[in-house]
Amino acid sequence: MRYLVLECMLSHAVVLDEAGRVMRVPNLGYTVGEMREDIYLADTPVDDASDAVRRRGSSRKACWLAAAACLCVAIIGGAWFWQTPRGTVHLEINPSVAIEVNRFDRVVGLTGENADGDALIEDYWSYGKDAETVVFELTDRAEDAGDLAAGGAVALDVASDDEPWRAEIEERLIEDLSEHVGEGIMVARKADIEAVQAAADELPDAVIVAVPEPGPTPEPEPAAPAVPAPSPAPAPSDDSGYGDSGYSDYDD
Amino acid sequence: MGLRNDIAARVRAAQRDTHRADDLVRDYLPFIKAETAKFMGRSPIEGSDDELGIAMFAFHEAIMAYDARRGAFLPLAARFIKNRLIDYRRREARHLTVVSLDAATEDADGDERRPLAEQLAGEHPDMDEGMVREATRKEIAELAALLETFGVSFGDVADNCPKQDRTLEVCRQAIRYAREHVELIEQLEKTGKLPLAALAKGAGVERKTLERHRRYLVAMLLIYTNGFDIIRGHLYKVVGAPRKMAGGDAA
Repeated sequence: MRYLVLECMLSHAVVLDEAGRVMRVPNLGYTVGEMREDIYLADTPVDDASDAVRRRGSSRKACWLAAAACLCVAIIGGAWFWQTPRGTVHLEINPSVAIEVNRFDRVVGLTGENADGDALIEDYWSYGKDAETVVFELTDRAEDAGDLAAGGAVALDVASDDEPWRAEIEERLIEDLSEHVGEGIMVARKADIEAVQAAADELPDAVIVAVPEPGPTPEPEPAAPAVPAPSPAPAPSDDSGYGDSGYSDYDD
Repeated sequence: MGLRNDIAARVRAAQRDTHRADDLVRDYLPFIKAETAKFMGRSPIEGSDDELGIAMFAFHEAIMAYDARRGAFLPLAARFIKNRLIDYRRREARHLTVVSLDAATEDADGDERRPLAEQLAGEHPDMDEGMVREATRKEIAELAALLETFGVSFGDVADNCPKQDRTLEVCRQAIRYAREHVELIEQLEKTGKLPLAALAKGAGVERKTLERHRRYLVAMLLIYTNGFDIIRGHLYKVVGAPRKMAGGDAA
């Protein structure tokens, strides 16, 4: 390729090649009007470096693919990490529900464990909410539905392979829910509630007082002769002694 | 801080004016030489070492690329110079076996002979290279003056020239069409406006592509007006081999 030098400045020259490309190149001692073949092109034209461009293009494509793969792995890994439950909170009011909680203490699943439980969670959106919030809201719903009243009990158990986490969240939920529902409702682990109920069952239902059965009625003894009552003391002198009875029919 | 602001202001001015950029290069020549010397391991010799020309070009590139918000100018310029010189050395290493036209050669007896370029020139005694170059220089000066009336410089044309082959081919199609329809070139000369719509429609190319390379197209179409035979002859790859036109000089 031959280049015609169009302009020469101190730092660069402008050249025109036979294909009509006009380029700035380092001025390595060129003069205007010169026709040269040994021009040093700081930026290699695209067609002269088609291999380099192709290589650059394929490496760029590889970079994009690698970035996309990384992004996919991050998204899938993140979703898996989020979605995997760390444990399950079993809440028995008596509507029973199972709340699946992930490692961020967020709810990722909610199922009813009996028909009342299914009714309790109907139209309720729990996904992504804090486990504590869901437990509170479900208890409130049960109260509103009349399934829970003062004197009732809520059994709360957490099942998980991660024992320290299980113990910590179970204790926290029981404590917080007890505060939330007030003193009238008992919140405890199911085993504790059953123990309390068993202890209550062992108590006698009522104190039985033995009353002796009455025998046949004895014949009444003959009445003793009536002893005349002592006569009253004589009335004072101004008393007529007749009383008023003899004048009861007297009509004024 | 004041010095830094001063340089930043000068660089900003140089980004808008090629001559100011050249002045800045001239003023910072000691810095450029020092950076080149660091790379070469010795002081560069002006007019002899290509590295100095490469370093000045890199300094000019740094001027154009500089953004004051991203730090000081001189460290950027030093990095540009170093990168360009590394690039230059790598490319030169590939061509170590190529004989320079200007290098002096030796004959079988070890006697020094004339440079290859002079030997080759001597093989065409009828060619008066000096005259041709003078005529070419004259044409280029005329073209520069004509472009000036359109507010375009050679530097602008270089900056506006398509870099991709595909885009360059689109522009070539437009140029070929204009060459076959001289009235379009005449219209450009007369009105000073590029007939983009007619070119795009006639050549069957995207108008947007032509718009993006307007200054380049203006320069190329002006070359195809009267009076630039030598430059036009050089551009045979654009429109094919040069052909004789009726009237001698018409495009």
